[in-house]
Parts: sequence; C-alpha cells; structure tokens
Amino acid sequence: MNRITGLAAALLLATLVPLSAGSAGSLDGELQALKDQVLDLNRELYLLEEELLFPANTQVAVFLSMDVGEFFALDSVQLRMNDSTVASYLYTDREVTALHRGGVHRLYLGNLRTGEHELVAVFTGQGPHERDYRRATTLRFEKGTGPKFLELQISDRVSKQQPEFIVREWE
Amino acid sequence: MGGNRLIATAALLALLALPASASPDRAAPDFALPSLGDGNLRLSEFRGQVVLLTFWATWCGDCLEQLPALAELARRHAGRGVELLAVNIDRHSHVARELAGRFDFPVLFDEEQQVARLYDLRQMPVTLLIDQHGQVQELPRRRGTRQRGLVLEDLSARLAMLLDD
Repeated sequence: MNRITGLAAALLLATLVPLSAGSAGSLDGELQALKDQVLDLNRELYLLEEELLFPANTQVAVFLSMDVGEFFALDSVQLRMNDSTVASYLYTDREVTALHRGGVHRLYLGNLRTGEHELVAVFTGQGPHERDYRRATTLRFEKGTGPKFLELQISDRVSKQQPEFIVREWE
Repeated sequence: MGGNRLIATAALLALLALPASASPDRAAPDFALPSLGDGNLRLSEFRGQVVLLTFWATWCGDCLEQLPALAELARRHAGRGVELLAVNIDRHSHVARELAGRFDFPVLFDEEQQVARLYDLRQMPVTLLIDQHGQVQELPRRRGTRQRGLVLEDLSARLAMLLDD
C-alpha cells in the first residue's frame, strides 16, 4: 500500500516535469502559493487542536513574566495544581534574557473543572549576594465557566532589596 | 493551468501520505538540563548547528574512552557549527562534575534520567547525530567494544555528509 502511494507520488511528480518546462516561473509561483496554503492549514490545525484539547470552559493557562530581575537570577519553576505537579521548567540564559526584555512565557496549559483550586509555584535560582534561593507562592482561585489565565510575576522589591513573587489572575 | 495545480496538489498530498518509515530520521526530543558552568542548556537552542549528543556515566568505561575522540571530532568541525553535548546520567553527579571540569565541551547533568528515558536509552555508550534541522540522523547499529571504532567512523562520515550538503 505504501509502495503504491509512493509510486503514485513519483508518477504525479514525473507528470509535472514536462508541464513545468514551458512555464517554470508560474509553476514555481503556484508551488509557493501551495506551500503557503499548507502552512496556513497547519496553523489552523494547531488552533483547532488547542480548542479541542483545551476547551474554553475548562481551560487554564499559567504565564510567567519578569520585571528587571536584579535581585533574582531565575533557574527553574515548578508548578503544582491541587497537590500534583503539572509543570516543571528549566530556564536557559537566553530565555531569561527574553523574559527581562518583556517576554511572557506560557508555562502551563491544561484543563480544570469549575470550582476552587490551588496553585503553588516554586521558584528556584540565585537571590541577592548570589545565594541559592527557593521560594514558593500560593494562589487559591475559583474556576468559572470561562477560561482562566494566571500570571506569575517576578519583580524586584527595591525597598527590601529582595525579589518579589506575585501570582495574579487576568481579568 | 488549473490542471497543473490539481496535479501539484495531488502530488503534494500523495507525498504527505507517505509513511514516516520512508524517512528514518526523526525529530530529536527537546530538553533542558543544567550544565557545568554554562547555566541551563536547551537542545533546541542549538538549532542550525549539528549536535553530537552523547550519553555517558562515570561507571561506563567505554563512554569515558570514547569522549576524547568525540571531542576531537567536534573540535575538528567546530568552525562549521558542530557542537558536542555530553549528557551525564549518574544518579549523583558529584564525581562526574569533578571529571567534567577537565573537559572543554558542555557537560549536562541528567540525575533524574529524564532525558535518558526521553531518548529511550537502552545501551551505553550512545551518541546521536542531530542535524541542523533538529532531526536525529539514522546511523548503523553497532554493538560491543570491538565496534567502537566503527561508531566513530560512521559518525565522522555522516557528519562530513551533513556539512557538505
């Protein structure tokens, strides 16, 4: 069966050769257009897959952002949702730089039923004076019928010369 | 003209329908691990380069013997975008860290052996060749100490092919 499919593809491509001899330029353009269509289709399939796997009524997404980060060099974040680990992410220097530049990283995308839930985020890295630093922050939140977006924000608390870890819900 | 488009579409669809086995290469699963001195390293950040990904452990004599030859191979092609990443899979990496201090290539530590599982590691030593597009290149299967030299020959030959493409 596979051989037949391959043969069919080869025959079809072979058929293209004499056709392209006359109008190579326009055929190139058409192939490029086809390639663009395949890319569009791929993007649409990706979106459709996300909608199917994470329907709006159960969808929960957790993002991470960072402001300045002078007092904290991020190494990793572990996420626990209702006492089970749902994400664990190790950040590279390049990713941390992107966060410093204002990037936002989607750390987790999953499904939760409506009701009350607890999110615990554990941050590890180096704190002030290059000391190993580990800090957990917790958020209890209510999941309604719409999608829920949560943001973990790391910022500097200049007055205390310490990093600050905030979890907030996007309205 | 419409006929051409139809034929081109049909050809494209037929090609897409070909089974994965038609091409033995597969995408290298991405991972991030802590390294010695270079912070955390993520495989996908080496996209565009050819990566020699080798797994080693302090208890694996063959791995330790092979590492210098792999380093030499990578060094020979370093100017053409070849990088050696050596993943240590010891459960406790303190001895490996001491050893790794002598190496001049990135050494990563997989104490929980998550990456070893991700790559379905069943024997040691294992070295994978990952091309510029993140595809694991298929290499002949070699087993046993006697075939160690052949592994390096295979890697060297395939590497040369990749770089000449």
